[in-house]
Formats: sequence, structure tokens, C-alpha cells
Amino acid sequence: MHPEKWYLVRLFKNSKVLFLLVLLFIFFQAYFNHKRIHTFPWFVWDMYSRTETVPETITQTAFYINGERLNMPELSIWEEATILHTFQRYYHWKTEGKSDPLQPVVESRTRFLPKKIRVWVAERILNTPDDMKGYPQWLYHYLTRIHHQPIRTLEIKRVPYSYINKQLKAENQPVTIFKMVQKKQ
Amino acid sequence: MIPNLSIHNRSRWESLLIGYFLVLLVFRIYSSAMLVFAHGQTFHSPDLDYTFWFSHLLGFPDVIIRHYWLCLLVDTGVAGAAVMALFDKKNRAVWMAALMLFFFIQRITLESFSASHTKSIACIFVALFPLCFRKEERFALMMEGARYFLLFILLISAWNKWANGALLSEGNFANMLINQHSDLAVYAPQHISYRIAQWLTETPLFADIAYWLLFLTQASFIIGVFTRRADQWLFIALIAFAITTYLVMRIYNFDLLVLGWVLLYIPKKKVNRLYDNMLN
Repeated sequence: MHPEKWYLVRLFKNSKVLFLLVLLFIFFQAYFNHKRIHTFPWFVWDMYSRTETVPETITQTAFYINGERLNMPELSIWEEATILHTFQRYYHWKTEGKSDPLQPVVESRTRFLPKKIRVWVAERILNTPDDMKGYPQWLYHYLTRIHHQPIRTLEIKRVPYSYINKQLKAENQPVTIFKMVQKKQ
Repeated sequence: MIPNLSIHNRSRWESLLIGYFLVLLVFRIYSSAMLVFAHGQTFHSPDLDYTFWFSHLLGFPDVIIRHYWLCLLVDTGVAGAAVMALFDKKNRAVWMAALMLFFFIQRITLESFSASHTKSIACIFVALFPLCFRKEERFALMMEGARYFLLFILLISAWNKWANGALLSEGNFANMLINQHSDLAVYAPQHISYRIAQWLTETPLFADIAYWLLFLTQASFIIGVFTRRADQWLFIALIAFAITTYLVMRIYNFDLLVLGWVLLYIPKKKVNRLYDNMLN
């Protein structure tokens, strides 16, 4: 094909600004693909593209509302992800010395910047203990809306399972890792 | 025989794309994927994403999530701009720019405070971007760029399956399915996704064949690099891909279909040229 028909050449002739924009987009797409960093609006699609093994045991996070286990797949994919991911972050913070797991990344990414800016970036990116303290109440309200009923008790347990002949079997008794009892009003 | 799905009229194609976006928006409301539902969340999770970092440095997600009325305003802005873009054809480019801005603010805030980053949302932005241009030539150039982006992401995904050894690893897809559906195994073994997955894991040969089919569907987009004549078939392949991945793996790939719409638009001039080439 004649170079004049090439996409980037035609784009350059039409608009220098758009050409630069597309060129930058291509550059960062290649960079993030190489680094395997997911950054919006670039798309690094490498999920389900690696070899996987089935672990011998897994642990599930189970939500018990008023004593009954919440059926997670009955929720929408988004609701399920929101509940599980936010709780996992909260639980990680609570059990791992109450520090934000992004701290080393912030330190690494800002290491060449002046101290004043480093502190400012850390304040904006990292969560403080006060941010985390308000989470249980938010979770309670979120679950109340999804559950369509008042919640008297919310209990979150870790349930260990093992794979026997590719079937999941509960191993031991679940361990309660979070409990919230709503006071009577 | 499948009728020709290509659309030659720009306005009609744009209306259909925005219509599909609105259908997905209704699904998002039903799924609680709106800011008003996440209002009041107290901690954010920008992860390693640079755009999320910049957004938190600017501070807008943290301000919005704390105020219910701002959450409602942004959500309404997304729906309102999309509806206006659908009906006000004269000012569509302006409404599209507004939609992209509102949608960007909504997604960054929502995903950061829900600790759930949806990668495929990038496809929606790439698909909507050309609609911000009134001039026919610039619109066409951006559409072409969006089409190349779609081809690229599908091909790179196919390539990763090959290069990482997942494709040739026996029983690998069966393992993926077991890991993917550990929640269904406990909560809902009667779920259609789990029943399909269980059948596949019990017959690993079929699971391997299914994974190869997945790979071949993605790899078939290489045809699009050389010709536009197979575009409507690629669009059908993309629909099949989105439906089967949802059914078998419970993965939501319908955002990818928004970008897939670029495969259906062939401007009149290009159609004439295609026929000219065929005749000569």
C-alpha cells in the first residue's frame, strides 16, 4: 500500500493535534502492555491467558444477614464485586498493621519529587484510619438496600474449603471475622 | 442467509450506538452500578492506575462521593446527556462531549470507591470519542482508529493465550472454570453457568476445545487488518463471544460490544469504492 494511504499519514495531514493524540495513545498502550499496568483508558487484556492450577484449599468470605447466609450469585455482578472487594480491603487494613497497602507504591512513584509534594501525594492517595473507620456503617447501609429488609445482625465469616475430586468440601467450622449488631431504636 | 448488517447512514448508526449505550445504562442502574448507590463510602482504592491517581490528586472523586446531590447530579448528567445526544441530532457532538465528561467522572469515582476496576469501560470511551466530531473526515478518521483499537485488543488477548502457554496447557481451561466458579459451587450449583462449567470440567477435552474456540474467535480478527469485507461477520463473532463468556464464565463483556459497533459503519463513499474494487 502506498504510504499516503497509511492511517497515520492521513491523520497527520488532516489534523496535527489528533495525530499527536493518537500517537500518544499508541505509545502508552504499548508501554502499559509491556509493564502490564492497567490504566484507563488503555486496555491491557491478559486475563484468562495464563496457565492456572486448582489450589488444594480456598477460603471464601461469607456474609450472614440475620443469621442467614447471603446468596452472593443472586446479586448483580457489580454488587457482589463491590461488597467483596471493599470488605477484603477493609479486612486487609484491619489485620495488616492498619496501613494502606499502596504506601510502598506511593513512596516508589514519588521518590524523585521534593518532600513537600511527596507528602501531599501520600495524603491524597492513601487512606487514613478515619477513612476506614466509617466503612462498617456504609457496608451496613449498602447491604440493607440490597437485602430490602432491616438488618439486625451482620456477621462475616471465613469459610475454608478443600477440593476433593474437583468438588468443594467445607473443611472446618467457619471463623467469624466481623460482627455488627444493630442497636434497637 | 444473514442480511447485510452494515449501516451507511452516519446519523442512524450514531442513534443505534447511543441506544445501545442507554440499554447498558438501564442494566447499570438495575445492577446498582451508579454513584447514588455508593454514596458515603469512606475509603478509596485507586490501585496502580495512573488516571485514578491523577483524579484523586485533583480531588473530585472524594468530594463527589461525600455529597448525595453531587452523586445524583453526575448520574443524571450521564443519562441526560445520552438521551439528549439521541434526540438532538443537531448538537449531538456537544452532547457526546458532555456525556464523555460525566461518564468519566462517574466511572472514576464509582470504581475507586467500589474497589472494582472495570477495564473494558475503556472500550466505551474509544467508541464514543468519534461522535464528538462534526466534520465528516475527522469522524471517519477517529472511527478508523477505534476500529484498529478493537482489532488490537482482541488480537493481543489471543496472542497472550498463545505466548503464555495457556493454549497448549492440557486441562488449563477446566482449571480456570473451577477457580472461576468456586462461589457458584457453594451457593448455586444449579446455576446455568455452573452446570455448563461442570460439564466442561468433567470432560477436559471439550474444555480444551472450548478454549481453542475462544482463541480462534479472537484470532479471527486478524482478517480485519487486511479487509473490511468481513466486518459484519466479526461483529457477529463478537456478539457470540460476549454471550458465551457471560454464560460459561459469568464475565461481563457487553461493554466491548459498544466498540464492536464500529464494525457495522461503512460510509457510502467507501461502499462504492468496495464495489468498484470488486468490479475491477
